[in-house]
Amino acid sequence: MRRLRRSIVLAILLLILGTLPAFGITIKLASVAPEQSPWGSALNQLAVDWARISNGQVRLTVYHNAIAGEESDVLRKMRIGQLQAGVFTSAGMKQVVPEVFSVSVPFMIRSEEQLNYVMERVTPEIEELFRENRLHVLSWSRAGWVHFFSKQRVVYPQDLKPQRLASDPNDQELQQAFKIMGYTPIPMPQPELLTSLNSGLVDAFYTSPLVAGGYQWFALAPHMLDLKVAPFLGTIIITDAAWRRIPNNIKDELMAAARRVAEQIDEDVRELEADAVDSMERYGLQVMEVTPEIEQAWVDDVSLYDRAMLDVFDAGMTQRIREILGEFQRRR
Amino acid sequence: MRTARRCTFGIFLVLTAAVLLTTGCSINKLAVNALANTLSGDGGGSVFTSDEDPELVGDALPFALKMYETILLQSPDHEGLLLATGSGFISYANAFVATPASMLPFEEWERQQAEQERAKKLYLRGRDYLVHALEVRYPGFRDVLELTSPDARDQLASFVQQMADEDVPYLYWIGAGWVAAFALDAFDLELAFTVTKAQVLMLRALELNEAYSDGAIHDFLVQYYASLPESMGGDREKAEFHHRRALEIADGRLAGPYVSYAESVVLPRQAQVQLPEGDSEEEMRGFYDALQSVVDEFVALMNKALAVDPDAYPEARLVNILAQRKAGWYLRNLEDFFLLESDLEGEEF
Repeated sequence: MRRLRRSIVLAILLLILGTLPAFGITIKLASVAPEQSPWGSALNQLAVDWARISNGQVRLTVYHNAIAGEESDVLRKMRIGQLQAGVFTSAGMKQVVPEVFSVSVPFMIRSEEQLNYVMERVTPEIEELFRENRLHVLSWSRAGWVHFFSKQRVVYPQDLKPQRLASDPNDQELQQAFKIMGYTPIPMPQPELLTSLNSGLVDAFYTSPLVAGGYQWFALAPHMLDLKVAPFLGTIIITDAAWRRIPNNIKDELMAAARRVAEQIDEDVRELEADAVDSMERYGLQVMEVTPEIEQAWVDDVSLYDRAMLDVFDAGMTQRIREILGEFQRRR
Repeated sequence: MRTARRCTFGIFLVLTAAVLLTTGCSINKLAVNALANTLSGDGGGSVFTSDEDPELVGDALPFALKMYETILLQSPDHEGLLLATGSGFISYANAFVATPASMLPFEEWERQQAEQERAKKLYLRGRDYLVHALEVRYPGFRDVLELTSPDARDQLASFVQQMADEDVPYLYWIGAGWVAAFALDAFDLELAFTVTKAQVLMLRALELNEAYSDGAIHDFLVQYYASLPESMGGDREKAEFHHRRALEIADGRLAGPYVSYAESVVLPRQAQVQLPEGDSEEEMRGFYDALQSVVDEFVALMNKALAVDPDAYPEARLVNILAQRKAGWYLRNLEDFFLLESDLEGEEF
């Protein structure tokens, strides 16, 4: 009888405690971006949103500043359960779903409108490929547009082709693509780029204006061609194991919060990229404007290698994106 | 108690003077300068730095700083007062705005962001007072500082060669305010492009007086070299060297060097613990043991910071108390900074 009474008391106590906010599950999420950046702010906002939506049941702990290592380390740590979620760029995503890198085939997608049109159509397929790998995509955002930066002024493809073009060893596909197109890519890890530009080992590189400004590489390659070479994507991914532990009735709201912060990242990144170019111009960057005639010269040049790109990037997805872009052109 | 009374008297003096000046009472230039000399003299700062009550100091400083600014309106080129004002803004931003904001719980993230934006402005405001002071002393300093040409850094390094021992506090505080503002907004590219100039000033200060403020320049350089990427001048070996010197000079009297080394050098070290090739239990144990040793080092450093007796060195009582608060906060929130073993299963993909 006394034991029964004690059980009832315990049950009531648990009931009371159950109504109080308590962290039921902790999701550890890693990002290589600094905390004081659009990505850092967005992730902190997401942690607050998830705690509110779940009434404190889901706690998102964010490890900023590459504290968990580079994107490949984050993926491995998600595999062993040390982390449950991560923020990835196209370069990290392609290690699990190579198809995603087809979005970054050089000069294939050349405007925000095209990118939005393509992403609306390929996102469900790509997310399904992640699900097959037991990963769940929470949201997509833009990581920036890659541009060419060079020591000498570049206007046409033939200006750049003889120049030694630094290429991140993690982007094997881009390196190979540029080689096929007649450029001179030199594998160059990011930490060595500044020294290599200084010593003359390389003459040019490709990256987003934000990165060129942030690392100050532009100071040694002060010519930027105002031509969008390729978009890079960003995404927040969680393991299925962790996602399964989250109550079903709040998943839609959690996803909506993740999409909201991704939209904020897009807006902030667009603004920051424009500011970055302005700031770099004040410190000596020369921006080469691209006329329709110049743009056509690049498009014509790359079209010679359409077939070859299918051997470098995932052929199926690349072909599918080309078809979508054809449809985009016809609709205009 | 005696210290608190002295501080209250200081504020009273400051407020009285502010009222007099703002109501247009005819205090002549000499009187203004005399007051400025008193406020910026050797004893002025210790009223704050030796206090045992950070909240009292945090509440008092904004009044004092506004007072200093009011007097500067009358005596804009008073070098001593410019130093007190500039360093006061930077200290206040660091100790009472940015650091408390960094320790807010994640639910208060928006407030944290607002406070950090505020701190950034205060850092730059402080820096600009000090730049003006050196411009008064060395006409042309500001022009050289604002150069944007590729050789701007070299020209600045050459210009500061003429500076001497008595310029060290100015050089130090300009550098500290500049870098602290950049640390709060890494994507402010204007700051990113110019932050190496702060290093030039700091290195000149180091040449002139490496023991300044109990090794503060070395402690600054630990964080500077450890935090920046290599391509922007980051250098782990230099960070280690400056930490050793900071400890030697502080001679166990300061908690700060332990905390700054732990957070800027030891904490990021966990990313360098290599994951094993395989996933056998033995290999994973080795991985987690290596990670734990980083955590252990971090904890040991924070405990060393907590072991410093703030009363043993009254001149640094306030900064020691503040550094110990930070150390205690880190120890209570270790899991937010270190990826310890998880009870959740992994996922094959």
